[in-house]
Amino acid sequence: MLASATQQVLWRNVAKLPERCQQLLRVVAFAERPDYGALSVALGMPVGSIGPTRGRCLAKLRTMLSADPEWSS
Amino acid sequence: MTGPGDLDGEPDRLAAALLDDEDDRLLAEIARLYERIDPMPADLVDRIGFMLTLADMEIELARLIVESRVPVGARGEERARTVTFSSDSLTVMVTITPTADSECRIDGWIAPGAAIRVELRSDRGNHDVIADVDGRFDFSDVPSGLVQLVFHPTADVEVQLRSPVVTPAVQV
Repeated sequence: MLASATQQVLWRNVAKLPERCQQLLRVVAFAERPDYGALSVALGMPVGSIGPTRGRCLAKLRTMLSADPEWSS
Repeated sequence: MTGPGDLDGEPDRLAAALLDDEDDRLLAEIARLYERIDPMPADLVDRIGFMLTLADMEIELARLIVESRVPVGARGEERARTVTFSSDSLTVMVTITPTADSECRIDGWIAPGAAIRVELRSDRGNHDVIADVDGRFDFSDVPSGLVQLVFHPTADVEVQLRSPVVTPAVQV
């Protein structure tokens, strides 16, 4: 049983993603974000030249959710 | 179902944008979802965390291709592991031998051999050595835990790497 209506709608949409996307999002959701500030100092690169982009899987999920009338977040 | 290559222009732009607060909220919600339906092994996040950090840099990833265990010592109770990593530029054979309590020794051999700078990364910190001209290197007194080797482009050696070669995290 999923906790809330939000989670049910989310799961329904996540389940429609390609398997590879589901795995990726799951991993990203649990992983701690690298410290990009520290990383850029270590690499001698300006902050902003490295940083996490959304990626296709998350972009696709957001597009699907915004088209789902039951999604409200 | 639409494959990843079939997205039109708008999702492309969305995909290339930096993560924002809504992504963070969505990812937190996804984490809660999976915690509920299918909790994952405890050390998986540590392993993947390494990889994600590295994925943001220009690196070449080595694959773990062979892993075997061989008995060492007269009684054969302690077991050394031999792990071989391979990438486009290098092949590295690594032997991990348990020594004191919760410590081990790591002996490595890079092929093609060259005096490449080798970095051992772990949650206790990073440590550098220079391999000899035949590509042999070692780290002693390595505490148990997840470790990862990085082979750095090194000036004036016979093997010129274009980017660092990084192994997956392995448990020692």
